[in-house]
Amino acid sequence: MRIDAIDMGMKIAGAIVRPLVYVTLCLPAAIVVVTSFTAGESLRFPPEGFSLRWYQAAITSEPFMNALWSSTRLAFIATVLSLTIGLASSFAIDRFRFRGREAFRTLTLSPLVVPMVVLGLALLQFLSWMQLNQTFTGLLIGHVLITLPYVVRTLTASFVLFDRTLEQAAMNLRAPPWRVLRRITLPLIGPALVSASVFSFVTSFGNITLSVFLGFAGETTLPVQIFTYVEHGYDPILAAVSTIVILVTLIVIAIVEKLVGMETVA
Amino acid sequence: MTKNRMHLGLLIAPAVIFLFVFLVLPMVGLLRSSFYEGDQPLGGVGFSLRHYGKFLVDGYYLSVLAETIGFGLASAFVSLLIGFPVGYSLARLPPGKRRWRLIAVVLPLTLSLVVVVFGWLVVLGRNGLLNSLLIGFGLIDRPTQLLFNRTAVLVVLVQQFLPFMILSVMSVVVQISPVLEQAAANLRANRFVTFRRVVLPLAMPGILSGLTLVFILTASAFITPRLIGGPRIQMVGSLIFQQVLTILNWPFAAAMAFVLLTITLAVTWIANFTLAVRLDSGKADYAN
Amino acid sequence: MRDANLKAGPADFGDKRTLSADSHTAIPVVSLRGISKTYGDFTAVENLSLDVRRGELLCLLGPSGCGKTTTLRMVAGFVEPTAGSVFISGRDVTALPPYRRDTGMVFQSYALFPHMTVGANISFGLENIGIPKAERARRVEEMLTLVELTELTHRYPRELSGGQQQRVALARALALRPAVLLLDEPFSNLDAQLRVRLRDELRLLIDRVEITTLFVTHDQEEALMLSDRIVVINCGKIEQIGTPEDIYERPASRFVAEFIGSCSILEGVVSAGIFVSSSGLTLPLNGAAGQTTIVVRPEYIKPATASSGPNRLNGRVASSNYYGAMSRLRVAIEGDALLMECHFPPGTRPAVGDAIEIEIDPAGIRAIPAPPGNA
Repeated sequence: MRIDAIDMGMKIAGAIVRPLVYVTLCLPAAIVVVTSFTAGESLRFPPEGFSLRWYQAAITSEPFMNALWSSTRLAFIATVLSLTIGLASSFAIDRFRFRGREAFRTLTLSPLVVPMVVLGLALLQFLSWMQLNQTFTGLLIGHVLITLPYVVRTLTASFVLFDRTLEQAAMNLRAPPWRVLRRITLPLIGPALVSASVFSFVTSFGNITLSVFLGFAGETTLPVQIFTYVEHGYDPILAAVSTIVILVTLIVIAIVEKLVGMETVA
Repeated sequence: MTKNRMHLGLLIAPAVIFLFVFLVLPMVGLLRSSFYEGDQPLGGVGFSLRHYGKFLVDGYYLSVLAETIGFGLASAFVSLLIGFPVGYSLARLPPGKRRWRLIAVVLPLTLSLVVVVFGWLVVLGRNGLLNSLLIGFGLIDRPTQLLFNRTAVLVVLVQQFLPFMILSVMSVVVQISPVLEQAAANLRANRFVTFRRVVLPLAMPGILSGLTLVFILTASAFITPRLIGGPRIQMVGSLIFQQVLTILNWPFAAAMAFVLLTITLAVTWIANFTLAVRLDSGKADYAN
Repeated sequence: MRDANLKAGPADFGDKRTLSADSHTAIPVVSLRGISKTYGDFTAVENLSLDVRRGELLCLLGPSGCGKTTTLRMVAGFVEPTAGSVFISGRDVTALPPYRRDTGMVFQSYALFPHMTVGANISFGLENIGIPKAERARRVEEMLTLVELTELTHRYPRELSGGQQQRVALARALALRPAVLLLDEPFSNLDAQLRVRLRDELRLLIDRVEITTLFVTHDQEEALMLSDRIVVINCGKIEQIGTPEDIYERPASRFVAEFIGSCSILEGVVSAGIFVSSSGLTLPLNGAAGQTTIVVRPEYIKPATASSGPNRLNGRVASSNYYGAMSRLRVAIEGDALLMECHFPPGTRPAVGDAIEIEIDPAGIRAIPAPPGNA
């Protein structure tokens, strides 16, 4: 079918811009992974040779491995706490009518609205005042604060789609409330729980801004460790470590994709 | 009845307590500390506007503020320009084709920011991808410094927040029935007229929401200007970081933080207001 | 709908673009030649050719998925044919994009622009073809008068009822005075009562304006009621083209007989003017021989009376249903079942299991031509 010049122009522009955007979005991560396999001493592209030496260096590096463990542990605990508080909150939001319900919902999502530098400073000050700064607890509190909104958002969306008549059918079949919850409700929101955990884990694991403010010598998370290293210069060990971060993130994300699909993210 | 109330109380108590203690109180504390007289990180006293004064009167700090707002606006509009076609096409693609592209859009958001910025350092570095390409194509002889300038910072900022714009546009275009575009075509409108008179007005809420989001995220950025911009390029976010962790003048940092917060809240409010106004009043009177 | 304020007359519509000097030999407004559309393995439309004559209301009728909507969209330009050509007013438009074709389409969902008032919606197309402002305003008013919605000019689509939205969509399409009006299942979004009322109004409007119309529906009652000619489509191919009466009384295939109205279908053999069904039922039939399929419409079967001729048959009532104006009975006769429909005075309707004697009007016994290539 013939098309006008204007249409053709729009088509061509689109055909150029779109792939460019996709490439640009994936470029930094892709480059990091590629250069991590360099056999050379510096971060040049194209990389010189192929070697796993920098992975070896990364794995044997105490600061980085400690930081990896620290990040993983922190993300895990923060997720458990976030899920608990978040599940209770979204359940309340969905199942109860109460004055201030909208306000409560907004409150649980409000950490997202505050710029993270501002949040970092506010928390640092407050925790210092409470003598909780430079403690694992302080850092944990910060991470729960920023992961909670994602958990609540995911779970409330899932509750909205939940078919209540299934619970009613279970009650009609003589199941008491506790059994309904255990055998019907929880299994059915299972995927949403997994999805929420994943968002929470990934957010916590990758967080840099807040962790820079709340972290301390004894408890450095991996992104902070990378940041500190980068500020002083860079060599390929960073690429290897960063690739490890990417790998962890990808594995966790793959779980979401398998269970729920990326569409729910957007 | 009371049992229900008790259950409800138990359910919302954890979040309410946690957020009140660790979000509301710290923010109030921050506001309070921005009015302290001294420059100490802790134990401040008194009430004074000197920190705000220092920030808003001094030429240097004002220029950083202006620069931050400038970056915010530039980032918002550039990401709109290149993000809209992507968001639109994602909305119109069948689910099969959409899947991988959507993953490509969402994945960068899930990676740690420091990894992404580090990646850009490798791309834009002296021996990095871009320099190699430019030399390879014969456009330059020797590797040039591509980092530590405004353009580099803008590029990284845009890439960082582009997915938010794309997703905003996509979610609003999905709600615009393609049949409307067909109807426009049947009424003799070519693709450009259809875009201008049908798609764009209907996509406005998503566009405004995307612009607002990208602006706010950009204005709050600190890692990117610090690592990509180098010492000469400062944004409010990196200034705050400096004041907090190096110079330890927390009250001043608090004042800056609140100026930043005020700006982001103002932008959000303006955007919501504009949206509400559009929805109320009629558009395109037929006699135009 | 009253004629009083009508400004658009028949001469204003669709006759500006006939090419031929001898324009009295009416060139079909729309002409499809050998149109096919395939999606991978699936053939939606196969080698379809038809003409839409000037001023007629032609209906594309068929079950869901038969290709009728695809065909309509190929006329409008939203689907590109895999093979064949589309002509509008004598011009080959196959390569033209939708916005260059002289059609006005009313979509199933009406597709009114939600962010524009009724007036702006109607004005939109006029702006695109470069009609000046004053003339646009005049035409918008003219169209709204035509559909009797002048007081709604400044309202938004969301404030209108379903019927009103449909009328605005019509006005919008007609404002450009297209050569052909395309309607895609225009009544499927409306409830049953409204549907019937709007059908009448639509026919009156189209007559008044004398616009050539091509419309798509799966509702055979609608097609019979509204069309000048019907094209019955099944699996991407044309089963029959004809007037409603042709289609109903003289179905060209078993599919058409079963799709339009209800009927009894019997297979059997004809020799010497007698049809014998496979289970032994005999009926008179002229003009056919050998293996034949016959169709009998239910209104041609009545309870036998004293004055009935030799075509009386004895049977048993298998089912009996009351439909108000008439009742429908299924009568079992010698292994076959015949469907009959007639009015029974209150209290006289036979019950299930009753014996009944029926008479078939020979005029209602029709042979369906055998499909080509059958033994």
